[in-house]
Amino acid sequence: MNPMKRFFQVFGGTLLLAYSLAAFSGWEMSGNTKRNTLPPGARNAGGYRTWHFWSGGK
Amino acid sequence: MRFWTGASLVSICPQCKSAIGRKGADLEAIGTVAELVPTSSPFKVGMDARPQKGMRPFHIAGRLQLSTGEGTWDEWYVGFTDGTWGWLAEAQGGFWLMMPVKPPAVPAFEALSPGETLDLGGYGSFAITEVREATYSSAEGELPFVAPPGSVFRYADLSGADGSLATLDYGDGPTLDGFYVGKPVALASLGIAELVAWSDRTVSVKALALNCPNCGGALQLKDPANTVRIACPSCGSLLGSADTKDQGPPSKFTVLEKLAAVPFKPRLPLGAAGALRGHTYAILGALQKTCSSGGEDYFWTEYLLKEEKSEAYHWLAESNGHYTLLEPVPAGEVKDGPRVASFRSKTYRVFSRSQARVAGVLGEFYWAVKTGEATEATDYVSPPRMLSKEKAKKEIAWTEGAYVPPGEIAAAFALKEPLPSPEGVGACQPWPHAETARLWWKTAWFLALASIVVYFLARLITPHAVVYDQTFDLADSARGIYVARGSTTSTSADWSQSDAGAPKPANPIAAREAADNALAAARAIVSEPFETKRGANLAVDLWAPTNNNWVAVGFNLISEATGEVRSFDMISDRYAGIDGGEHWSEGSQNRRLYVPRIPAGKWVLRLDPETEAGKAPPSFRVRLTSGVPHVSHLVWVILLLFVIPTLLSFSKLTFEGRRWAESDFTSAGAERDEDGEDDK
Repeated sequence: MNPMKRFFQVFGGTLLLAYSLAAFSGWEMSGNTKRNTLPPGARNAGGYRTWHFWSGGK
Repeated sequence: MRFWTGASLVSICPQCKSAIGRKGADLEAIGTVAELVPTSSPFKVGMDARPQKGMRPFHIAGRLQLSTGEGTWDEWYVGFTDGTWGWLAEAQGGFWLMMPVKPPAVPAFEALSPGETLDLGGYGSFAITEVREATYSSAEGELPFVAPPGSVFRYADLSGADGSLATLDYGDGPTLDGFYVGKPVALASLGIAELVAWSDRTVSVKALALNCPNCGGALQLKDPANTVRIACPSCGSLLGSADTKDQGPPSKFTVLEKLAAVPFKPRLPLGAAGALRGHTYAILGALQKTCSSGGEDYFWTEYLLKEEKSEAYHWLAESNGHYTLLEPVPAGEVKDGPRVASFRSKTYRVFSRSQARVAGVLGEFYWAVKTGEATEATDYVSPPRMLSKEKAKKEIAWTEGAYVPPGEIAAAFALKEPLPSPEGVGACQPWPHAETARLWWKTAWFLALASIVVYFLARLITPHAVVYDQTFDLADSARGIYVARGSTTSTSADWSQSDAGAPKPANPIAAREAADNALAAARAIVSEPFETKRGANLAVDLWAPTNNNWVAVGFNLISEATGEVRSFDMISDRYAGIDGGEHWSEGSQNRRLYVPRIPAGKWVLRLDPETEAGKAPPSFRVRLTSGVPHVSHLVWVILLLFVIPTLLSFSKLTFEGRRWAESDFTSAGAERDEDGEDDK
């Protein structure tokens, strides 16, 4: 078959495969979320609530 | 003398060539016919036809040979067993069985013009294809009319919309003598056992391999019995009979026009044979044609082909390396308009119209071709097909055909060298990516549908679950503090109270900052731990009954196991009103956000709601759902699937633009003036 014809079938098939994996695995592109890590000492209810950590950590 | 057919009025003596007419029981000599010109006709007087279904058996009783001065042809007088008679006519390789019918009312001969349409009442509408005079040059056997040999007949050939043909026979006067209507017949369907194939008849006259009387160059004729003119491929001289009434065999041709060199060099070898698109062809000759447009002369080549099976003449037109294979079609089946023409339900757009002139000839031709011969040529296109009209003073001819890539031509005629690459876009050249585009669009639609199926399958099958769903009510409207609905544990308000006992800073700015921090901490909500069962995205929904107010919520998803925090903000805001009598609205009470790649585990959600003092909505709701197939992904996939075929299809617009840039007309059919501008 003409390689040009085959190209789109390969491209489309790959895209569909990738989409299927993403859909079934719940994959998500990176969004507008920030990542941070809470210091071990703050990993408790009080720490979660402590405003100074959040404001100071920004 | 014997009369085989009751309707016969004249019999030609085979010995002395006298034409003997009968008047009742008496016989009368009415003249002597000339020697018959050899033709390549497959018929002979005395043949019996036992046609296939739909036609009656007949006997070939006589032969009438006619000449226009530009060519000679035979018409065969046939008698049927019931005493009726007709003509088996042949011209340009085609055969028609014509029957005499009652003449309709028609205009005078002088009023007829090729290309016009005649309404013949019950017989239907016919296009006039030819208006000529022909000389009764010779005959043999019997004839159904009495006329002295050498008589001139005036006739008009007509073409019907249903493929029928008709002839208006005006005899030698202004009024109609006879009217004949018939249909084309295939040789094989006539059931004549003694028919000789064209190729065999050609072999029988192979003695007509001649030498040019001007340069001595060899002339290998492929169609000698029909050849009226030969342009020597070696010196270009035009050979033919000087006698316009008797073309004679090619062996008697003399030099009509002497040339020192060939006028042009055809790309295809004359005399070559090959199979192309289901037909076996011999290349008989080539015409170089020219026309002027915008002060420039344009040239193209038309090759005359002999189709061996049907014995018809076809054409292979070449322009800038683009080839179009054309064969004659009945004019009556073409509907001609200023911008479009249609043939057998297919519509063609006008592409070019010019006064085409023969600039050079080479090879053998069945008519008295000459340089300078001019016709009005109009091409209509519907790529890859073309419909072409050539109109001269006495006749009009339509041909229809398809674009043929040069590689196919080279292979068909076994050319040793490849043909030059075509320049630009041909008039009826198909867009080369049409098949690819069709496949791509088909693939795109299939994969898009498959993607939609995958989306819904993922929604149905994958374990997506609501891991957190909580409504928060406004507990302190002055400070914008919300508490979880139905919560019995400590609230933000409680925590705020416990923080209220902290010492106040003496510095006013620090004091203000401490107060703000205290308020923010009071507003903060920390959820009970919840669990995500698998690593997946997290759909976060925020809803609030906002109505011309807003609530913004800062989200912090905290992993209990790792301390990983994902932070983002969402807002529910909806504003509506009436401005200038018109209703408007903006914002949304519902918002959704997808958080990527949330690992399985236990999480705590910290919320920081913020709103306008005194205008806080009474509540807001937060819902987290794990593993939700994202519809925007589906949209992106579908867009990506269609963007590439779309880009390919855009290239067709460029291709068509290049095609129509070469046209005398715009793609909409408007004629361009000499400067290339649209003619308004």
